[in-house]
Amino acid sequence: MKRQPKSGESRFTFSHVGLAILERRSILLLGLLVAILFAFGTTTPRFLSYPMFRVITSQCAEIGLMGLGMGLAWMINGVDLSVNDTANLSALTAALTLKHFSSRGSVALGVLLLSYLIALLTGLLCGMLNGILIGYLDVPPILATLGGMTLYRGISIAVTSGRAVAGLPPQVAIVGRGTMFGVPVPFIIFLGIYAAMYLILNHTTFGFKARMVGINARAAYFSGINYRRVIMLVYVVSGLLSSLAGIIIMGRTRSVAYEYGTQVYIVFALLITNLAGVSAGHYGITAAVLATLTLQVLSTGFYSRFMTLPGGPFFNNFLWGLFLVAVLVFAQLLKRARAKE
Amino acid sequence: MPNFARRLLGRHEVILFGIVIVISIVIGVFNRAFLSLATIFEILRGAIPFALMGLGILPVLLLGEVDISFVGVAATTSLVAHTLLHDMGYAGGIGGYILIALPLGAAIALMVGLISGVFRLPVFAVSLGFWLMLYGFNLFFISPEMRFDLPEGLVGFYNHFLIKVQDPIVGETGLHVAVVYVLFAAVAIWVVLRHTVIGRGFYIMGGNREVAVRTGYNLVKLLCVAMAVNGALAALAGVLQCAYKRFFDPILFRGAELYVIAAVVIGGTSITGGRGSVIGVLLGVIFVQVITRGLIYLGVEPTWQQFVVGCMLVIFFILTSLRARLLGGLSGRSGLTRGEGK
Repeated sequence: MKRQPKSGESRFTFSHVGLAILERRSILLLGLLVAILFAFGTTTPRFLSYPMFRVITSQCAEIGLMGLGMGLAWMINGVDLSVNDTANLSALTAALTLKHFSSRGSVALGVLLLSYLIALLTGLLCGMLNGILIGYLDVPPILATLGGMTLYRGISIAVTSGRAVAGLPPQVAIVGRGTMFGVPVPFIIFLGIYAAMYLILNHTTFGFKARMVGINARAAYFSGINYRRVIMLVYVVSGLLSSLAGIIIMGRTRSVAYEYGTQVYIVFALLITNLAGVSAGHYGITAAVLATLTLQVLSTGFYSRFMTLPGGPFFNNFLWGLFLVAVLVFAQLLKRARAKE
Repeated sequence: MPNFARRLLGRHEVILFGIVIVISIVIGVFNRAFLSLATIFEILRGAIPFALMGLGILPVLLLGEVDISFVGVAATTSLVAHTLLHDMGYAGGIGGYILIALPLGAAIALMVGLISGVFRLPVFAVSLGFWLMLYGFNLFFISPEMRFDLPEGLVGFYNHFLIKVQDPIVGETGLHVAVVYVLFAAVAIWVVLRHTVIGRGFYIMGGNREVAVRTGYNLVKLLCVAMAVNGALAALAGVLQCAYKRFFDPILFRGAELYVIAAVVIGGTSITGGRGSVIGVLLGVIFVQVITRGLIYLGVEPTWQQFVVGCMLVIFFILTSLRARLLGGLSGRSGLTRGEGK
């Protein structure tokens, strides 16, 4: 916070470039969102209804938070594959705390908060390990977070012997299923994080440094930015966001399982990042949120269409895999077309 | 002294071999049964599919890319081959399976390589999509259940031994015949990597892309070759594993990709590309097998396996990074790239 960059002018241009890309992408995504809503609304009965709104908004927070973390890593030319397993491990530590302190299936508010704190701490530690490996030890992000992912999932499996932790006190459901003024609490948390991330990325020194490291880490290093620390902090933030997602998952399902989400959530996070058009040094948070909503509508729509089929979830997985490849190719073609312009 | 340390640290395979021996002896001290010929053969048999998959991703990792779709390729190809052959009323042995699975595996993996090569996408992201797609395909389009209806020729395959031994506990066991496949694949890949122009290309491309391209190597071509080999070997591994387990599994090897990558990285394959050897891969696979099996002999619950593999990976990353610093290698070079080479 102390060393505000002096060249205010270059900073202005930076956010200008960012803003232009962001707006273009956001409009595109908004159009896509409306089109998808229209398509499902006309073909699926009761799709455009308040219960459906609640389902979509309360579920989008989980993938959205992981997606925001992934986007941040992507912005500095990294990737965070451990988002899903960080979330599950964080939820597990919180669940074990709750189990330990709860009496007759109920729990005091203080204990609830303590468990959330422990979950966030877990996320912080997971992110820190990723960050140290990538930032300070120069391990390539894909492999480092793959290793982290294996380790965090391994801890979850070892501690629970591979079984799900269920029977959590009913109070945890406030975060996962509660509503405020008709809006689900997870969605409110998600919007809050969106605002915070927007401010951090666009109006703090850290955000500026992170974007600089994303554009050119070497140049950032020569301008006196401790890029190693910036890289580590980015992964710490990603870990924290994932642990928050874990808390919401725990609240929504009232259980914790090491295999929750498996690879699908990583695919979702990658999809959000690519749909939002995150690239080195450029990260439109608004676009990421719109991408999350688009994906969630699509996911809920698919779900209501295919779940009645025998083997529907498997077909869903097949579609998501195909969709990821298609989006990756499409995003790349878009980038090339823009470069030609 | 520094010179001596430098030379010792440089010989990765030698150290790894030493560690495998020491760990085996330590486990053997706690449980005598571990140091029997039967256990060694059992470990080798368990290592065969993993060794094949490890040899397959070696060229991909040498290019500085990471692939995880190979486990899906193994599952899909073995299941498709079985479904086709079963419908034809095939009663023969493993030959028919290999004949169908191998080209199919090469073709699927080639698709991953082509898409990532032509569109300049990280192989990892594309392979993640394929991973999900292939398992979804198996479960939805082919069979959500395991299939135990093996043809006659394949039923006895799991105990075709080259050398037989009598063990007081497990009875008759021995060195499985599929070791020949591994040896063949290992020698072939070693020759290609060591003595052909295209093989050297993998090392150059992983070491310095700029230089490789200027020398006249084509990244897309190399990537396609690497992925085709990867897919073919994964398909072979899938068929073998199903023959051992005596059922065909739509979610075969799901999650095993982490073990394979861990084994290859532990085997000394550079995490940034450009360095790695066939011997290292084989030793890495045996190392992971010894550790995961050894834990069972020590009475540790199998649920701890993934934790141990995760720990080994992280410790190994730290060690290789520190070693690279010690040897004055890359400093401040990587960590800045995603390794997709744009």
